[in-house]
Amino acid sequence: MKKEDTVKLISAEGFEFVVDENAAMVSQTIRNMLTSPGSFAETQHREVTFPEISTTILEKICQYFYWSLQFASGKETEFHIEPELTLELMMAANYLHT
Amino acid sequence: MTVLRSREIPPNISPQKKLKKMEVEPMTPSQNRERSKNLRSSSVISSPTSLSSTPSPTTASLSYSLRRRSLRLASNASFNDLNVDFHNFSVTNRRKTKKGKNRELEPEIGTENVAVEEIRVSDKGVQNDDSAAHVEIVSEIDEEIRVSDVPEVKDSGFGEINILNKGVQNDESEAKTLRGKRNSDGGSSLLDSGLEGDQRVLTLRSGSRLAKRGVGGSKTRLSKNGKCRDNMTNKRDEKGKEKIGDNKVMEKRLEENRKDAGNERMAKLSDGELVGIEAKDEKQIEDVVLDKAGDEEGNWEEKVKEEEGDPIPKGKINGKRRFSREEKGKGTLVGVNLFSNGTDSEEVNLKVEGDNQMENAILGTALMDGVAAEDDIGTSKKRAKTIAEDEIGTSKKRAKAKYQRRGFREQHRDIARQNAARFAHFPSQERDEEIAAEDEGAVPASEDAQQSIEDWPGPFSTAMKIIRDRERKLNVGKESSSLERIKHMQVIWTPRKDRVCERLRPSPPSLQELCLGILAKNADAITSLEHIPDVMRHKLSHRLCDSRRMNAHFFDLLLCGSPTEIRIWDCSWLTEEQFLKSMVACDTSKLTVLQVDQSGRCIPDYILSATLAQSSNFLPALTTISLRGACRLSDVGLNALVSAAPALRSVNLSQCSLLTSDGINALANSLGSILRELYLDDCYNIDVMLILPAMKKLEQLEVLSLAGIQSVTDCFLCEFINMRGCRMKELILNDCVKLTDYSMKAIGENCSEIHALGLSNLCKLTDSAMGYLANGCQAIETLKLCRNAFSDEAIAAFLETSGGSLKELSLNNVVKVGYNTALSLARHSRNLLSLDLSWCRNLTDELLGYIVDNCSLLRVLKLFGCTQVTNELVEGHSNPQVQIIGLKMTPILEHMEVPNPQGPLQYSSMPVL
Repeated sequence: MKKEDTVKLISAEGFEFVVDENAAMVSQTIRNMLTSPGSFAETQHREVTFPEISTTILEKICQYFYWSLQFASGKETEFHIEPELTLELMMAANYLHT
Repeated sequence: MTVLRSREIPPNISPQKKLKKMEVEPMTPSQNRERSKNLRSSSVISSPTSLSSTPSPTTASLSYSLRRRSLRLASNASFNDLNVDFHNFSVTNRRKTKKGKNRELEPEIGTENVAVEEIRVSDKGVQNDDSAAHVEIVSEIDEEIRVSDVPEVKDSGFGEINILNKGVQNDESEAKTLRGKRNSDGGSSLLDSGLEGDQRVLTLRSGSRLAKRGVGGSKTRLSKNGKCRDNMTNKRDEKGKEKIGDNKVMEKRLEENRKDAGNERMAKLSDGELVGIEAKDEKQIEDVVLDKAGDEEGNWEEKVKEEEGDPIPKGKINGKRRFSREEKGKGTLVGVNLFSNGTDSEEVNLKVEGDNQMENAILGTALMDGVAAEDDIGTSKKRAKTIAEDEIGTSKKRAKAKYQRRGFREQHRDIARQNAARFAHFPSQERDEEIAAEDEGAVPASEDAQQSIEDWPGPFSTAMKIIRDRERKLNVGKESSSLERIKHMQVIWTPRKDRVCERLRPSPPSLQELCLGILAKNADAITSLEHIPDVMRHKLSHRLCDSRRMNAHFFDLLLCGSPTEIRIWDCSWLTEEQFLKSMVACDTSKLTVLQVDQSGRCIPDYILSATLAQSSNFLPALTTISLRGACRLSDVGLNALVSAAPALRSVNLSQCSLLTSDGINALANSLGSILRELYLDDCYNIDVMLILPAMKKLEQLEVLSLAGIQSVTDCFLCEFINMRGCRMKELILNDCVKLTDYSMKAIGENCSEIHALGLSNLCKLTDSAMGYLANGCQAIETLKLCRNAFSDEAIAAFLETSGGSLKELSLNNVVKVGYNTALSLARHSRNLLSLDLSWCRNLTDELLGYIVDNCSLLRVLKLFGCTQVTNELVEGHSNPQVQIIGLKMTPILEHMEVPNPQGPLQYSSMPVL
């Protein structure tokens, strides 16, 4: 994967998740950050930090991105979420507008 | 033979007659009759020309029978002159126009009395006079009526008439009128031919020719009757026929009769008929003509007979004529039986027709509904023969006349029915009806106010004109169904064929939705809702309520801490005790939104007093409260609540059916200066007129919902809107059925900032309402129409003027919606998010596809009840995100609207406390 095709998502603990650009674009918030004509710093570095999202949640979110791409391309499976994560995941998803 | 020849009218008569077409037939003794006749004749004169589109009969020679027919036809022609429909009617009556010469005959009828009839019969197709009846008679006679020398006939007809008239009345005017009629009546060539000159020969269809006989009397009669072009011609023809002295005694008699007193009458009748026909409803005329014709004929027949055999009792004829004149004098052609033997005043009216009818009567009851005209003619002729000029014949004729009258009446009625539409004036009627419908509390809608909205300058009227013009162009010569219109215009939308696979792929559910689903399933496992934003709480609680998993546990979760917003859409599971317990333990100091809908079970007055209203200012920050469905809440509880929540800005008291105007008055008195939203749906115990003064105090009111309150009238609404309409952003008036366009006018004039309007089930609204709203409410974003009676053009014009900002539009059951609305939607309402076109069956796949593809932001399209929509739309449209709901192939419950309030107030930001 080339650098240009990827985006780095950094959790609150500092974990970095390098994901495909298309996957990251599932999140409307990230999409706006990366594509907006404004001068987001993220646009250049292609790094987005989420200080309020924990690592486990961010990991789950990245998994959701890829699952969503799979779903849209026809492969319809079920996305399992651990119940204890659900509340936080919901809040993170709300923030990321996914 | 040229029976018509007999009508050697002195030349001077003819020109006079022509000039005097407008005059009443000369023979009428009474001035009024004459006048009326003149009127009639003049009118008739004009009409015959219009009517006589038929080619003038060529053959002037008509057999006697023909002439008789023509008489009848003439009488019919008089109808025709006046009534095109009658013409058609007569056409139908024409039974067996022998040769399709009806056309010819008709014009000739004017000329030839008898022949005219017959001719007219054939010409019925052309002239819409009662000649139809005559036609049948003619057919019965089975004579060929070829009117030769039609133009001549015309002239001669007059001449004959003159001659005829001379004999009887020596009334030049009559002759002139006759002639005049003929001349005016282009079509009554038959008559002319029949009437004119002795050289005329009416050739009946049967081939026999009616020579115009120079029966002076009859001719004069005919000439006198020149008034009614057709009728006259008919009469004249009849007379002429008579004069022709053909084998048909009837004709002679007719002529003679005409010559005699009948001249006047005939003239009168003809004139009257003509005049009447033109002047009045065609139906009337027809009736009159028919009747008169019958009468006349009867009379004439008698007279003819008399002439032939015995001296015609002039008295009778004259008497008949007199009547006819009188009738003519009335100038009202009503469906009077002309067959009355000149003794009825009715006859006068039907004079013109009566002439024909006379002929008919003479010829028999052939005129009866044009049934077996021929037979009638024959019988009538026979009868005429047998009928002496004495009363016996008269009585028989009367009987016949009556019979014929009945038939003619019906005919006339039919014709009237056909023409009634011309005299109806609908637009103002509609508005007047609306005005009239407002009874109590109705603002006296002035007539000016009810002028057509389209007459006023403004964007709406412009749009309407454009749309109407467009429709006219499309509908030229075609039916005006939207489907046909589409056919005629270029294809506006073709379904795409390659999208099927794409559409089947559903979009992946969002992570939020997935989480919500899991949370809703495991709500009991949730230990805390801390840090969860209100929006998510609301979504969760909504999910739980929908799935009936809401319980006290979650309720407590919602209430724990210091909640700011609590929204529970369904508290029907909640008991009084639970509510009491939870609320008492709740810290409500920061509560800004409290929504406890469907809480009838748990919030009676005493509970409210113990919980929410336990102390004054218990809810200091409460901005929004919704007690929908709190059916046990009364005015007392409301008062307590209001005193406990002094900062209320939005109050929803829908379905609180115990509330009365007292409670609302108290509410308005204490919150009048800050209240912004007030929902009073279905509080049917509230008499809005009693709360009107209090309502006027609500200075900042932005949202008002009075849906379902029947006491809402134009009076209330106009007064309120005039005072407080400038700030209104949302007005819900669903089911307030007493409202009319007048309220809409007030809304349009005052509510320029309105964003949402609910006008469902307001069946009294008309297109004017759309006009007012279009001109005045340019910022409208949500419009809910349901079962309104607006037309396609009105909605389209509204969309073109004010539809640009529309986001939500419901045209549910506005069944006239069609092509124009679709075009306007696609072109002007590009911001639409939600569109409801359920039950709009005039919208085809093409139109809907056009809308869907052009409204690119459209998310939801509801098409319940649109059985005309096929897969072509579902699979062929190019809008990737639209969901089409309501067709057979798609599930419906998935798309129920979930309210998603963004904050305490809909249109204003929360005030900082």
